[in-house]
Amino acid sequence: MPFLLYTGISAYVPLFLLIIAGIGLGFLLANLSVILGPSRPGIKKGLTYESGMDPVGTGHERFSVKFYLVAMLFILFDIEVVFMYPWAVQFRQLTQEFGMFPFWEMITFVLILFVGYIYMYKKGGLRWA
Amino acid sequence: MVSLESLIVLLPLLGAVIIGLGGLANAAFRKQEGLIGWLASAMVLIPFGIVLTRFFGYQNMPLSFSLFSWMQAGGLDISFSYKLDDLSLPMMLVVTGVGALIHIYSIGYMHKDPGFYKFFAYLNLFIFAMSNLIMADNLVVMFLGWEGVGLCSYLLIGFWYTDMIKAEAAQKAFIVNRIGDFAMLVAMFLIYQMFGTLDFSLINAEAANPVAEAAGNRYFWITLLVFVAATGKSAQIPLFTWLPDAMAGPTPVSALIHAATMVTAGIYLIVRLNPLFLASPEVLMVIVVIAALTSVMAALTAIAQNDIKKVLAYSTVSQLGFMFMALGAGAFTTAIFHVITHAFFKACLFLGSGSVIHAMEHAHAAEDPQDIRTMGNLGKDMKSTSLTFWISTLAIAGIPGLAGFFSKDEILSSLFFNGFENQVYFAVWAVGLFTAILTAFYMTRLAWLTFNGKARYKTGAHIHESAPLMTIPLWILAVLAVLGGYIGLPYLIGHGEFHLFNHWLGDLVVNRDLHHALEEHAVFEYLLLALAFIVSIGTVLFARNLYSKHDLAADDKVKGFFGKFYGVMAGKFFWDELYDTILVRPFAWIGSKLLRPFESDGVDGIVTGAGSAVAGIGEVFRRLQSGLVSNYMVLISGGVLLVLTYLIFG
Amino acid sequence: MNSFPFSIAELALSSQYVLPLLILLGAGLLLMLLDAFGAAKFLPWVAGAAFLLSAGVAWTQGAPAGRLAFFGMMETGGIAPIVHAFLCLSGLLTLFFLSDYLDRHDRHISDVYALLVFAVLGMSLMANAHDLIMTFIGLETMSMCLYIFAALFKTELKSNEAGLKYFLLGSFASAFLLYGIALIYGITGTTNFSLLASPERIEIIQSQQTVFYVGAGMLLVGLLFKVSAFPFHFWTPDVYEGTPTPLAGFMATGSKMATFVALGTLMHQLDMFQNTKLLSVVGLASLLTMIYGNIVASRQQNIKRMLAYSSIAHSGYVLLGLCASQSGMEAMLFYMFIYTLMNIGAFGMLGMVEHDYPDTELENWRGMGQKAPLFAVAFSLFLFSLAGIPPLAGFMGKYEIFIAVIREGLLLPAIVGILASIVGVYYYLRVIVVMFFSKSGETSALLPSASRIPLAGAAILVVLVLVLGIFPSLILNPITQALSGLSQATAVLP
Repeated sequence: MPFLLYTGISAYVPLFLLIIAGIGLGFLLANLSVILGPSRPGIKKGLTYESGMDPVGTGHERFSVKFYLVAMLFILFDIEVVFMYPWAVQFRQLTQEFGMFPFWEMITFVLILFVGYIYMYKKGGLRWA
Repeated sequence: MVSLESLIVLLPLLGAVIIGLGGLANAAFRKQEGLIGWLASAMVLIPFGIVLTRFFGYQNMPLSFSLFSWMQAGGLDISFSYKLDDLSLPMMLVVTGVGALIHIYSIGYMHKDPGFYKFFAYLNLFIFAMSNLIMADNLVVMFLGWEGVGLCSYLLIGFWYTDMIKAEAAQKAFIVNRIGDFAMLVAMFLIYQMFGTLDFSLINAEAANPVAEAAGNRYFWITLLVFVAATGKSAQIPLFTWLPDAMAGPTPVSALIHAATMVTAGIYLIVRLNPLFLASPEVLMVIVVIAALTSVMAALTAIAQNDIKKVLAYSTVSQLGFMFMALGAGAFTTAIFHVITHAFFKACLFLGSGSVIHAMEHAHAAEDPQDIRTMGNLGKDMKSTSLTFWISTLAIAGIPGLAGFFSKDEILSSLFFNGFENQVYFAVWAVGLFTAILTAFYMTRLAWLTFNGKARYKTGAHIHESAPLMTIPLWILAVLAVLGGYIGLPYLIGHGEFHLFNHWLGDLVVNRDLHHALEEHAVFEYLLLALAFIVSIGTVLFARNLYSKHDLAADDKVKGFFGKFYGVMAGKFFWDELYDTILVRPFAWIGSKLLRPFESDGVDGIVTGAGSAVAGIGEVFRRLQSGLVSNYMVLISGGVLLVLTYLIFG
Repeated sequence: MNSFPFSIAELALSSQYVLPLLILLGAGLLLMLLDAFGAAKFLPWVAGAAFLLSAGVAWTQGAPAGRLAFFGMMETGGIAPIVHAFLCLSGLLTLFFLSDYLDRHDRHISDVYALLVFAVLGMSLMANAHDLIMTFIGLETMSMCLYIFAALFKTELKSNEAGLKYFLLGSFASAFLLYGIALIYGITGTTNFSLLASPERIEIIQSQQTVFYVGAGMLLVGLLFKVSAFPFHFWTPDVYEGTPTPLAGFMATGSKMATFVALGTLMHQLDMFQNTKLLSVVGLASLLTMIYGNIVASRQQNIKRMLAYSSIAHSGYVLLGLCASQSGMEAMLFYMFIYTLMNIGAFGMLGMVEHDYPDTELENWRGMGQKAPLFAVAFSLFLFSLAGIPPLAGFMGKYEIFIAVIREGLLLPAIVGILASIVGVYYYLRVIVVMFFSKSGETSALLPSASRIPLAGAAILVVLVLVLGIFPSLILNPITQALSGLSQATAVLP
């Protein structure tokens, strides 16, 4: 089917196949142990796993909003690092082409991030109390 | 750039700005009644002087002047450009002349009113808007004036309103006018689409082009819409109900805006676009029928009213009907002729009634200073007012020799001679004649019950004649009401040779050609004239005798004559009730029933739920879960589905 | 080995043209730092200066169309500078009313200035995007800031509700937008406007009609949501009501202008959007929007909600203008500029007195005309202008739109539009009636803000609304000039 190779949406058929395969594999692996493994449930086994400790209180406890704030900040700064990977991988090639420009460009980016960090810090985003 | 002519437009605006801002900013300025009043008057008198010199120096060459270019968009260049031509010159004379007189009169009338400065600022603004309307060279500037006069009228009607219910009456005037404006805007855009221009002279040139005429009734919708717009501004069926309500404004306003100038804007506009109308006889037919109905209905209503200003208001509606009848007969110059004579005598009547109300109020002579049942024999103490009021009454009644006679006779005769082409016009003529009789009757009743007969106001009340500041304008207008008609002598005197006004307008405004009918049936000219003589004099004498004999009790005779129908007349033909049933209530129903689900405003929920900020967050989520946001999402998704379905399958 | 399709020289050149954007970015960062180090006093002034500078640079930079920057992602020529300047102006005008409003409500939220600058930056990115990805990024940058604006008074229930609603529904709509972009990318393999306009891509689209329609439809929906067109408008009144009033004015003007420009660019630059079906979707949405907005607005008892519904109605007029090709674009820009002036004026003045009556109920405005005559006159001017009464600027805006529509021969829609706008007069008028023609009840003790800055802002806006009604060419001419260079996306990728 040569038409699959170029135009339009049909070019994505392999991608769809890949997605389906991925989801299928995930399901398969997750459930394989249930299907293959022996199943002998008991009270101890049914307990929530808390690193070996007996669980205390209910599972529906409210968390302080601070948790979410920190989590959010973590994700923010964590995600930005993603941009550095391709940059780092390509860095040698980039400098050959453009000199020090790619370097300064990333410095600018990090500086902008840094402003964000200062802002967060001074505004008390990390202060727990 | 600033030519002398441009002062005609700019001075009133300047006056309005100075007086308005000065009054707003400075409390001491507000007290300077003399300064404010005479400044405002000067801002109208000077333009009047300029128009007068241009009028007498007129060389049949329109004077154009332009202030600046307003906007250019896609090859359409709209400027603030004006034209003083055959048509706008006489109209401007009336507007600035009568306007100046009414300004001067108001200095006396509005004495010690807390809103004195506001009143004059509005009046000047009105003159500015009216000048724009009349002198405009293109439809957009005309529309600017058109809206402007409506706005000023609205501001002035509401001038003394302090409570909500009456304010809504003022609002009604504005809303009704907006219906007219809608028609106007659509007509304007249709004209643009058809002619590619909004310039009056270009439109008219194109329309008068015989090649274009051959294309049949292309102008049907344009002319019909212009007429609808005109019914709004000039108070014809079905948009006339605001005018009687507008009488709540100060009396000089009634005289200036609701009798002499603004309400004639619709007539002026139709005359301005006369080539279009001449080319659409169907619309002329519509106009003449509507006008006849309006005219007779208003006249019948006027007979059964007791408020001096209400009678005059209905009389105005009726007289405007006459003007429209002239338009419907294709007698455009005649309509303008009547506009001018009517401006004289109706302004005089209104100012006279103002003088009466003023006197009644000051003497605390009655509960309601406008009710003619509590007046009577005021002429004894108010010689000038009484005399000028009577002169104008006779003029409007069509007594030969006075202004109203000439213009009204011309209207009736043009209707009659149109009848030879189309029999409908005979019927309209008959209605017009009947209305003329009614007019003579109710005006005589009004004048008699006010100024003559027995005094019915509180005994001991001292009625005083108004100050000269008010009576002098009355006399000037009364003189004009006598002499104003001689600019247009009937056709049979020298075959129209001596109709100065027709000659004046002749180049610009083309009437339907009745020359043939007039020559062929010349004998009817004499008959009509004789009829006009008999009818007007006869009715006035009859009414005078009736009321002098029975005084107020004569109304019972009238009531007996009309029988059950009198209730309809007194109830103003129940137009307000009709509108309430067919317009207001359905709208309210649509609003309350049909749109309710769409509004889905969360206000109520929030107000009740906003007990405390602590409970707040939970409340928000509760409300979210109770489906509001998800409802919105469902609705949005529905919209998306509709869009996509249409795009894919439509 | 040149594996990168651009050069340093190009980059340097484009950075010169994106200077206005860089100014905003720098100012935003500076504001964050200043705020962090407690210099809250200077923030409004810094933000204002940044807006002025950025707008000034953009305005003087006017350029031929098709001058692209950022490797074809951004348009910096044609109407871009003007649009950027207009957007900066909407931010600047909002500033006039904002700090006073926050002070009065005793909420000294200094973060708001940086957000305002970033919001304008996002708007500019979206409006002047030359790539669907950029449109999306701009839209999201803008929206993030607007979500925060809606929820700015975080301890207030209404504000909470507004923020949450806006966020949920906004993300919902953004998702549609993104799907749309993805589908278009899916069939054409590009998101760049120049490439999308190329003949090969158009051919592809014609062979893939269905997918294209789904993509374009979703794209439209995402944008129509932002301009609160029917039936994607439901969030508008609730959100505006909870948003601090000056910022609600900003939302109703700046974000809409940006979205309209983006929509207009799509519809007029890309041939594939010059499609009868897509146009009729926009046209129909426009008609329903103005009918709905005007009718529902006339039933509101709360001035702020009335203004919210009125902003829906105004979106309807502008959408109608968008259906009318090039001259429609011109009318749209002009209208949005005028609308920015009068609407920020109306919202700002509302905010000035709102502190005394936080519910902004119409009832409480009785007798305003006696208590604070100048204030009432100025507010009435804005309302009259919104209603389209000549000779105020609002009339000129409507006139331009309707003339453009009629020139396209769309007579019936124009008539519906005129009718709807006539209905609209009623509810503006009602406010004026309440202010002037009613005895002041005992409950009302309304006096306008004594603070000079918002009063100065209002005064400037009043003058502009008056002057532009009489001299519209001051703004129309630059717009026409900028547009005349922009007939098609003539630029090619480097």
